[in-house]
Amino acid sequence: MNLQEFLKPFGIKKDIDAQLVDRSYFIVHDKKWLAKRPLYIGECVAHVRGPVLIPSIDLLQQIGAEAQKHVVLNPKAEWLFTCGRDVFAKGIASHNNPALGDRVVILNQHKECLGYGDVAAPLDGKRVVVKRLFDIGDLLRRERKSRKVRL
Amino acid sequence: MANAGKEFFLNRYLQLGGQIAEVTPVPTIRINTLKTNTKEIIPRLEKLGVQLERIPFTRSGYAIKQSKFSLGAITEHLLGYYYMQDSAAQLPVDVLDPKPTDTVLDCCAAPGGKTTQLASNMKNNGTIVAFELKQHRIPSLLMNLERCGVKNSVVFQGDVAQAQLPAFDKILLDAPCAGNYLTEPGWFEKRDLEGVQRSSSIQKRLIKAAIQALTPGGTLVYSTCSLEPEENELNVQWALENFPIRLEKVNLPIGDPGLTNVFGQELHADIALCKRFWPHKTGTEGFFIAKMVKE
Repeated sequence: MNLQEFLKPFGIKKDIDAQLVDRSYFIVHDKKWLAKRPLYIGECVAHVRGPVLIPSIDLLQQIGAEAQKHVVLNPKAEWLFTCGRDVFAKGIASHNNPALGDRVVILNQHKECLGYGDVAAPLDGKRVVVKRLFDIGDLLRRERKSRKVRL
Repeated sequence: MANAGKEFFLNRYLQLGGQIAEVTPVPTIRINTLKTNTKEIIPRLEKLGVQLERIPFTRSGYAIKQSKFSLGAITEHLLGYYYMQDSAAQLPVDVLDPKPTDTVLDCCAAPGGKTTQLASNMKNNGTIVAFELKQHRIPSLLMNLERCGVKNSVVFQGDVAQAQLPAFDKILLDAPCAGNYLTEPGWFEKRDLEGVQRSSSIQKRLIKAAIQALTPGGTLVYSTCSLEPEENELNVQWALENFPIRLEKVNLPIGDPGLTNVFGQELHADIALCKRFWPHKTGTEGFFIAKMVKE
């Protein structure tokens, strides 16, 4: 999957001139360091995880601002979502009418993007209505996982 | 053992002038000015029930006086609005004083507290070349750079002392060290003098490499979170004896002057220009900062 394909389900058409370094995409401003095989260089955009991409925190905020469909969560649902949970209808404070199957960004009440998911049921339902695909808590879980591997 | 244990270390501190008293460390944060500012984030955290108090000797540090939850797992942290960092650990970068046009070497970068602070002080301009030797510390470094929105860094895994490097005007060497009793439970029981001396040897190797990578007139800030003179004043003495450097005053309103007499050994008088942080005096973790300029 490339970055354009990743952005398409959000309704975003954008060219990002990013370079794959190790297993992450970066916008590289000073290419002279690339020959020395860095692990991080410039502006982190996304990471390759198996067959999919996961966005950097900064790219996620850009997606949050530009995506066509969004869901805004209340504070309790925000906490649950960043712990890796799906979204229940009662946790939704507002939305802009996404349809079943749409990719939606999940925002908090400050309009910061917490992650994204796919609409799995009508938003006025009672059960899981947005199936979580990615949330910013992934960052902490990634680090904890690396610590466990070390032990 | 004769050279280990609480009594051994406390006796050493007493000889060095540090009558250790009970100190309860206060957790502290540094506001990440790459992502937010104090006017936005402080009221927001206070609204969540977090009581904060400005730390006067830091640029953007706040002590957490009260919080009902860990500040390490909430949205504001995940979005990089602040970094959990001891107040003393916030000082070496300010002493180095990197500018947006500088190219800075960060010798031992993980977990990234000082690298993200360098980027913040440089307003994401210039270049930070960051090295970390230990593979298992790389994920936390990369995670923190991403979280804090750092865009002016290039990170390598490896031994900075073995790297082929260009010359730098500014270098930060926050060296791996034995640590201190305040930040690690059971520290007194885990450490002995041999371990401290092993750390000192590693630090000497890194100091040598850092001075070699410095341009004439360039600045090296050396710091540890250790109270042991073998890792601090004695290493600086060794550097003064072996390399073309001079010391500059660490201009901070907190901390004691570096020791110029260690267990009866007279050291260079300029070592008093360094700063030593006794936790019971500063309320911070144990810390040491030296500022060296290459002749």
